[in-house]
Amino acid sequence: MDNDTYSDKRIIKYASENLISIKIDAEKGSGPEQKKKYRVRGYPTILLLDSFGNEIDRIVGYRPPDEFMAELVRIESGTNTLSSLQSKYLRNMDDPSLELTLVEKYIDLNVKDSAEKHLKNALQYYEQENEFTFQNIFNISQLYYRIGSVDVSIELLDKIVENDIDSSETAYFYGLLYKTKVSNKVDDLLQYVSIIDNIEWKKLSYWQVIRIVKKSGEDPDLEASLYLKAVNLYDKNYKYLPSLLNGFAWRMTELGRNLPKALEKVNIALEYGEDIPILDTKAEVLWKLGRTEDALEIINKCIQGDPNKKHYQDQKAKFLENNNI
Amino acid sequence: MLLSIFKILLLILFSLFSFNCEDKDAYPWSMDSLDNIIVKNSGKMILVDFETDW
Repeated sequence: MDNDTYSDKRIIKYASENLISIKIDAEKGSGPEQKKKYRVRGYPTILLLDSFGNEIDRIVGYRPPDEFMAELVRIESGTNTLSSLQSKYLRNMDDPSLELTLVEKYIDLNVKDSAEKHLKNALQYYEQENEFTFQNIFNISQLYYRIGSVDVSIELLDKIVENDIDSSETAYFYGLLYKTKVSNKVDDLLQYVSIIDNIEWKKLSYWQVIRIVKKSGEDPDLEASLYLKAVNLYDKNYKYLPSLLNGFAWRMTELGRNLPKALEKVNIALEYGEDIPILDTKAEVLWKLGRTEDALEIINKCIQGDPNKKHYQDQKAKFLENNNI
Repeated sequence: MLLSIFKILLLILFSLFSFNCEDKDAYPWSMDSLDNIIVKNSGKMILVDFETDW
């Protein structure tokens, strides 16, 4: 965020005129206490507080300058903030779409109980009004999943399948995906993924299985082969391709599998720009392939680019130690 | 007397110099603590960016 969003002239001007801004290191000093108080889960999380310290809204995750600016203006104008949604809700408590908007807001603010209460209201409304459509129930099942109530989510998806509501195949897939997550048994999902054509479902399935297999650590061959299948599903237009390929290549060095493929992928990642962490991965791949001199050449580039990073110095020492040339 | 005037002039020059050197292109992070900012109650919205060294 410092490199682009907080360096953007419009953001700086807006902040100078309208905000008092501070950074809190969530792991140091009073950081852990503040993190707990404001229910912060991941980074970056940007809270917008009123002058008494009450939260108005939050921005979770990286935002490029334009999006960040739009969010600041929205929050300052009180549009779709928690208090504005609550006021709307008090005026109209029979609107399930408003209930669900509130659920999304409570999920963003990490207030699970309130999210669950409004989810129950919406579900009850759809049942009473006989609006048990795929879209309504699927949407609610996804929201239950996001608040961590995976069992309820699965129950709803099973109901869609049992009642053969339109698009029940989608419900079947997500049900299977979530059941795999709960049971940690990957066979059914792997069998299913081998017979479907939907690329997005394949990706979701592979990532789910890879997480489980990685966690168990019992089958590195399976993990490596699924990881390769997963990354091959992304085309060159995918926004985070360099990072994805870098992650793949590094993991292959850890597993000691697919190393020529890892080199191929890391080279593709570098075609998008010479990024030091990606070069570091390439050095590790080369070293694992026994090409120590090439690895040293690359790691020297990393050291040149970021001389203070101890990891690169350690890598160089490791390569030299094992260099028999 | 002359020395005092000289000191004042120096102070003014120094202040002007400091003002001109202020980095207007940098994001205006406050060094104050959140508690102090709330106590001071400027009436402005407070932006709190949680981050780590990771």
